[in-house]
Amino acid sequence: MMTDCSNIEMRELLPDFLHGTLSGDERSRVEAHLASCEACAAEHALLLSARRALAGLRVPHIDTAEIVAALPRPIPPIAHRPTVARHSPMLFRLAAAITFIAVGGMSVAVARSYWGEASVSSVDSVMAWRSDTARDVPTLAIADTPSAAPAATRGLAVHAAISDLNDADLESLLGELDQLEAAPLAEPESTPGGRALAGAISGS
Amino acid sequence: MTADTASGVEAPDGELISRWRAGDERAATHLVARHAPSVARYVASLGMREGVEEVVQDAFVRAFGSLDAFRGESSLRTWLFTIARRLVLDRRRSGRRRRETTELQDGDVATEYDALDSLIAEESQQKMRHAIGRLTTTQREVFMLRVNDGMSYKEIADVVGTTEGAARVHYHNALRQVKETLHDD
Repeated sequence: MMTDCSNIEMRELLPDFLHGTLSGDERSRVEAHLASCEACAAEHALLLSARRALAGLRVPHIDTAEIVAALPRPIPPIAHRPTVARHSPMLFRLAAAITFIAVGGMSVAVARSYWGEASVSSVDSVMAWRSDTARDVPTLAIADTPSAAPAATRGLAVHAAISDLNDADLESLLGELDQLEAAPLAEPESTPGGRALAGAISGS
Repeated sequence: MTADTASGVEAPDGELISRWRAGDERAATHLVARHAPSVARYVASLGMREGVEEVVQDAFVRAFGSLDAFRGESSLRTWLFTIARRLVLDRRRSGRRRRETTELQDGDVATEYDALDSLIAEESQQKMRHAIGRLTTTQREVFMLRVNDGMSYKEIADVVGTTEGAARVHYHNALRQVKETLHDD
């Protein structure tokens, strides 16, 4: 068997020389080397024979049109694709600001209506109490009937400041207290209201 | 610009790909016509006896379906070969086409290149077929890609899934083995 050429560079170029892919200078160098190197000339002949043998592989007919028909449709490049209209970021910012202001305003209004009414009602209740005590002299209701008892309870429960009463009211109040202390504790007087109350207690 | 270039026959792959992306389906026809025969021959060299056309079509469909991912760092042909090789290996693994393919076993000369029988009449080429058939699977694949398809070691490495250095070693080992076989015969 013939010894291989020691010029590895030339041997590496032989397949490319076979396919005609070398540049002009490289092709000239290889041709010059083949003319003077028996080993590389033999190797070149071997490669040529191998290529012919391999190129003779029986390959089934390839239907180009069928393959092309099976290919996916080309996707247009981005520059050719229809673009979706894009809104300016400023519009989104403006819309967000309007929404924020509207929601914030509504929140403040709701909070004010809730807390504001609560505080006002408290004040109003106090003022109403004060006006009631000022306008209506508190009296000790006498529970002549069962239905009158809650009213009497309310009357006793609401106390006006003694200092707020004028002299006449104070005297009237003391008079009523005297009558209360003078009332018998064992048996109620035979008043219509008292009889009704006794009847209600006895269940008659 | 020549008429062939304008029609796409001589246009480079990159230009044809751009034209196809722009909607020119004739560019796809040129690309398929240019590469389909070599891809089919490569698939056949891997041992496929039936279904070669199907594998070739599948390789083109997959390649064109993901052209956006094609960065152009390798040639379209290398990419097609890589896809076709993967398809063949997948079919072997799945076994779906086991009866249609011939397993490429090292040293299995009798069944590998029967397709050459009717085409190679010369005794020297029959010896060549025999010598190539004695190569290991990887040596044979690398040798064919280098000699028959004229691929560089970089392209071979991309297709086979190895390094340039390994591809170079496989090629020279294959070449030495073929020489020894031819000398012994």
